[in-house]
Amino acid sequence: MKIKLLEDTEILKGLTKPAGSILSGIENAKALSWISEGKAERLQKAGLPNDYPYRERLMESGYTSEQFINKVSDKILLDINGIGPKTLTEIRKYKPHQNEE
Amino acid sequence: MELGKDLVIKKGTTTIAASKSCSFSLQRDTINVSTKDSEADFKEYGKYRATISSEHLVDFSDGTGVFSLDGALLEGTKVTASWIKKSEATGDISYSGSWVVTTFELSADDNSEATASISLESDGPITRTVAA
Repeated sequence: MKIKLLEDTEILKGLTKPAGSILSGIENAKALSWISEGKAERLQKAGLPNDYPYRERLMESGYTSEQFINKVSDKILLDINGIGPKTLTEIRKYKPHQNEE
Repeated sequence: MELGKDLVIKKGTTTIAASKSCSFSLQRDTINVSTKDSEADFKEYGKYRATISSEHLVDFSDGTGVFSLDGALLEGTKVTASWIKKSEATGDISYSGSWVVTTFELSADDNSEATASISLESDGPITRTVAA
């Protein structure tokens, strides 16, 4: 799990990291505890945000980042099986996720 | 580009002084999940571990040098340590964890400075931090 500290936090005995530090490899139980206490926030996994329109199909087709999708033309996206004009409009209107790196 | 002289080992937040060299290694086991029918080897991730080793000049009077670690080996206590940039800036990456001290070696050759070598093995997960 990848998290961002929202306040200075002692991550290990005698070792404090400042707010804004991005941690990975931290124990899940510890990370979830900090998130529930408001000390940290979870960062989006690599790939498209979970609520991205037609996410699974796009990911399967190799379109794994918003930046990349924003660069390709409508025609190319419409060539992906299952993506029609309605989905394309949703994709183009999607607002970037706050937590995505 | 980072320079070797800027990367150090810190016990807690204190740099282990008089370092001549240090290295960090992260390794993960692989599990071979191939069968007789496999055309190639198929692998899954197993467990990972990290090791740190470093060499230091010997200075008996410096409590921040390697002699802050030999006690951990003798007494069987674990230490919190990081492989980290001496002065961190935003975006710098460090690796931290709990460690056991597995080797402490002193060397004193004629016509040469006395040196100490230490090795640490990770105890539990390693935390990768991107500095704020």
